[in-house]
Amino acid sequence: MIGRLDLIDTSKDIALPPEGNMGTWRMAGRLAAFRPGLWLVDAALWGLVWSLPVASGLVIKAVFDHLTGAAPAGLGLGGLLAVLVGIGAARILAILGGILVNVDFIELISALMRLNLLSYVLDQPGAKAMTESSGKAVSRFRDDVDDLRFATEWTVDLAGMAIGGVVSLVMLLRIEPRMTVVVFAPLILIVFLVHVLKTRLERYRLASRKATSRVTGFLGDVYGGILAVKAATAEEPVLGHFQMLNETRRQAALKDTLLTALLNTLFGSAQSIGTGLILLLSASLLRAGSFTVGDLALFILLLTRVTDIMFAVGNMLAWHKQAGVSRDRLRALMGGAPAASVVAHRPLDLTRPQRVPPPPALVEGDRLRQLQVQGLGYTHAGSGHGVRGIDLTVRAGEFVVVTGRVGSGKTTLLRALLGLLPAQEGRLMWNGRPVADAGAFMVPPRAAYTAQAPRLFSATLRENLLMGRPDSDDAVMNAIRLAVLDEDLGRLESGLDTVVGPRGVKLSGGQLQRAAAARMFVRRPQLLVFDDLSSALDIETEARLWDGIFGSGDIGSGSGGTGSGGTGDAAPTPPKPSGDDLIIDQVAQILAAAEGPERPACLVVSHRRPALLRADRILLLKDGRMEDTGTLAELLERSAEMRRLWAGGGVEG
Amino acid sequence: MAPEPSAPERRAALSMLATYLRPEGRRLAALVVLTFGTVGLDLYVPQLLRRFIDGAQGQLPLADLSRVAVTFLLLALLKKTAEAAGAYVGQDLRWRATNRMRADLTRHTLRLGMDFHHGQTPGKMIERVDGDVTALSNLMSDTFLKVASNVLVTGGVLILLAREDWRLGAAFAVFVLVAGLGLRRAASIAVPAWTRVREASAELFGFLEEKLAGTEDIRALGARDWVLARFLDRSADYRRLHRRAGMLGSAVWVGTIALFTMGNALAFGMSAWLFTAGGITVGTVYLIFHYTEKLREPIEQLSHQLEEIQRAGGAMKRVVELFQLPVRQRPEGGLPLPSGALGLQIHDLCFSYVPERPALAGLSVHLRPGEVLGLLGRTGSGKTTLSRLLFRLYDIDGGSMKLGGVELREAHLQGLRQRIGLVTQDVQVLGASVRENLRFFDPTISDERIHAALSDLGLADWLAALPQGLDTELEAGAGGLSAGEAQLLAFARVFLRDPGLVILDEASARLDPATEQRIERAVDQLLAGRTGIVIAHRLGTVARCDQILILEDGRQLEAGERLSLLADSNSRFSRLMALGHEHSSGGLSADPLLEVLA
Repeated sequence: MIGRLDLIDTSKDIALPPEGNMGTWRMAGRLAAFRPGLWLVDAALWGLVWSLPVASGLVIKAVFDHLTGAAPAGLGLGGLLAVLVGIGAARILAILGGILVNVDFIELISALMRLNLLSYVLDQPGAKAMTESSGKAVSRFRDDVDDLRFATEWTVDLAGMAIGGVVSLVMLLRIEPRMTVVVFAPLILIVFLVHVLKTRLERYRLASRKATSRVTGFLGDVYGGILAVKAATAEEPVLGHFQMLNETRRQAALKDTLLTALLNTLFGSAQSIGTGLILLLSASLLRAGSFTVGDLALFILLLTRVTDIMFAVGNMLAWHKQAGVSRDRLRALMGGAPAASVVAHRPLDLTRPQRVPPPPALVEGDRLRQLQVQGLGYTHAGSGHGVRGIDLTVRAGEFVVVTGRVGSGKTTLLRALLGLLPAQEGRLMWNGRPVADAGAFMVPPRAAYTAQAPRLFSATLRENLLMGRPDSDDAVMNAIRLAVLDEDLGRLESGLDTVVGPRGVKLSGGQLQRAAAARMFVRRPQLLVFDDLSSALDIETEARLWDGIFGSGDIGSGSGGTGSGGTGDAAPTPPKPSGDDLIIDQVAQILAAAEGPERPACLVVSHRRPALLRADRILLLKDGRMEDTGTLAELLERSAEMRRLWAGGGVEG
Repeated sequence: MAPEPSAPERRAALSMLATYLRPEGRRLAALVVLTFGTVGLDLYVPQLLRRFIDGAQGQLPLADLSRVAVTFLLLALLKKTAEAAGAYVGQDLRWRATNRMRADLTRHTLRLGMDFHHGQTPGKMIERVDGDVTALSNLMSDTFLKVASNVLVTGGVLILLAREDWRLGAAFAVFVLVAGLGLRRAASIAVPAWTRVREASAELFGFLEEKLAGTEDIRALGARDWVLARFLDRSADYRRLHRRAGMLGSAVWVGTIALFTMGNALAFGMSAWLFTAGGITVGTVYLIFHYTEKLREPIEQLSHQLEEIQRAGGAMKRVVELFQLPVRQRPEGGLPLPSGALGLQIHDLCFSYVPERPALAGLSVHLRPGEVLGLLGRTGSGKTTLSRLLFRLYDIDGGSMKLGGVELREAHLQGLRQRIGLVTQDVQVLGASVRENLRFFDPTISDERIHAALSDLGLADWLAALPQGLDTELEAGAGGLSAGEAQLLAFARVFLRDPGLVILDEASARLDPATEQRIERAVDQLLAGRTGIVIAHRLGTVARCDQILILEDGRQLEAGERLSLLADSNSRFSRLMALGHEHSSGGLSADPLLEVLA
């Protein structure tokens, strides 16, 4: 059955480098050492919680011995009962304190691990940060972090239990050493048995965990693509698949349960066997009077205590095995990084609001004079597609267009240049100085990027645009005007404070793209990089067109009479620049005014005529290679590919 | 929020549990037998201890004493075995029942409108459909049964205590009553706090999910520190709520300890008094102590179970809430739509979302089977509304709307939707193979059909270029596909379903000419033999239409045969065409049909 599970598992198991591994105990130790004081207080309090019952047991023994007259107590029965009540009160206080300290401790270490994971992911090249779907990754952040947290939390109990267990054993050995040994020997045997069984338990846990992450991953995909599911009325087949995944998970969980129940029975039986042995052995001793009824009561009580403790320790061992599975999966999420980086210490304070560090200021060397790209290349591992041997120069104020068919590598080129894909080949030089880490360097205030399908997040529009920057609303409004989003803003219920939905879905596609453009503008970068801005500009074009036809706009009234046939040649170009040109100029002018004499440079993926016409230089890609580069006129003359794109970029008829 | 769930809330929760447990009758019966068997053993075994102690104090032969000890041992082992079997059966039952609940919850949420889904991150949905159900799975099987068995143990112990001395029975009956009521009260204290903890957890992981899906934007804009700071803010919220819930939640545990310390004192006080009065033996004192300790186990377990229930209570409340979100049900007839291309007759259609503010008014369209209607108009002009009405997400207020000769409200709803193919501008890709992306997990669609559909659409070479063919895994979201490829994928999805009416919101942008040509060919195939409504963004597409409808503010500004409109140089359409041709980009509009299902 396990084999079948493995067969249908499509998630890639990353082979982890053996070096840099770390036992889960050591990881728990590292986490405990994150706040050693907190851990100690936590352990001390739970130690009390675990060992105070031993004191209660002694009082109860004294009560029996007092009643039978074996050892009359000086305190009298009333005194003994008062002590019993006092011990209960102390235990309650220890529990309340223990919970407060424990929640603080576990939330700190959980946040620490998640922070380490999140920082790692965000330090990766952005377009290739994840090896699995975000839905699956969330179950790592949730369940696997929880497992490691549990493994650490248990160390607190372990300390307390060790105290309780040792005290109990010493007590029993002093009363009747032979019986103690005979009764507790089977327990040790059982701990050993658990050790043997736990490797199997680990396998079942892994299968069960995999089955769970397939369920959650699938749910994430379905709810992420809900519109497609609805449009295809595919609810029933989707449900069928979901039920199949759930069934697999049930079977995996049952195997896990079966083994766990078996372990529980082993432990429980140990307790029953122990009590039976106590009875058998004590019969003659009781008769002889060397063993009192109080001793018997204490033996039975503490046996229960000690088996509980051993049971808990056994569970803990199982948790640690499970934590081993989780550790490996977290390492895989971190690209095989050493286990130590999952639990690395870093400043962390959950008691006050976080401040986002101010954005880096533009220093003189950052001011773009010239960006040179030499021999840039990137090949996608799976498909073998990509780009190779790209040379490109962008100077201050220039407008450079990358064009080519779909699949020619335009987006890959931008991503590689911005360090959003891991560096493979080529050199990047900013003002003649080589850029070592493009991903870290090609960010605001030097460069900023708007992807083909940009994402916004669940937050206010203001926060989405600023993402922690301290800019004023004036600056934000400025960026919004630049991105032609101001009219839309007026229609939003609470302006900049409007909460745009998850991934920005409450905005229309065009609004989303223009919001993303505004997000880029507000950073006032030296180099603006757009992956296909044309769809954002279409809105502007559309508005002008419709105004011309339906409203009183000057375009419409000016050209109303000239239209004749539908499919003939284009009518004479109006004297005004087109909408596309307008916005590009506008962007350039306003940004230039804001930043000083130099205009920002633009690097744009587009195949639209307005962009091509405006370009200072065009880079033509074909099948991942540079087909040609030059001005539009040069390329149209030299390149058949360019002529074909140009013909398509205009009007079909 | 009230600390106690209201009566209707509790009724809804209980009836929901009953619904999911009912089909598991046999497992439930086995579980009952196993659980109650252990109760009997539990109550009988301590009597052996009394016999042993009194026998040892008195003159029972050693052999008899040993026999008592061995009997004790065997019965105790039997009890443990029954417990293990119960755990297994209970777990099986729980998974079966909750899996059905997960499926129903998913089915229900899939039916909810896009207005609901737009407010949810996928991460939050995972938490609500899987996380919450897992959290309440403890309620599904053994918890209630364990509660029952613990109640039986408690009752049994009280009776056995009363058998020794009626005052003992009475005193402990009062004790159990006080303990029971007190702990019940304690259990409800933390429910609202745990609900908030679960909400904060859903927030936290929803936050993480969308950030993990948006690493490209975060990296390229240097917003890493912002994400980390906001993550820590959410973690801090979670910690604060967890502390509060932890403290409130400990009320049960702490209360149990307080009560049982008092209970022990009571037991010893009373049995010492009875012992000194000569009414009972030492063995009976031990028996009383042991039985009162026996009360601890069920009540401690009960308190743990109540804690589980209280944790689950929060989740349960959220699950019931989710189930209770109304699915907009509209009356539907049972009429099937004819096969083949569907004619569309709209006559004097009126519709408004808000009374007095018509979204569409006086609209009439007569589209013969196989004809294509070009729909033009700016954002908010009613194009999307018309698509929504056709998909029957809303009902018209006046006039009539017939598809294939069947009035929409008389058609079978799911059947109607299956006969309409919808291609949106924004194509959503599932994180699954190309095959599942095309057939949506419908195993009845064979690979042959998929291959045939793709080659009909002229996409055979596209498929051949995929590294693993139909098995190629796509990433959710953009799926590693270009916008053009994504549209082609959407075409293939629709093509496979063979609808009689295709509503196509053309991709307005991002297509290079080669892809555009491929799409043009595919659109030809898609519309061949089908009726089409095209929200056109390209002049080339408009040229394919038989009829044109221009909407403005919900009214038809212009409608008619395309060729005759074109011939009339004063028509809006011909002026639009002329202008469009002037304009080099050739774009007409970019209103995403994404809004269709909103």
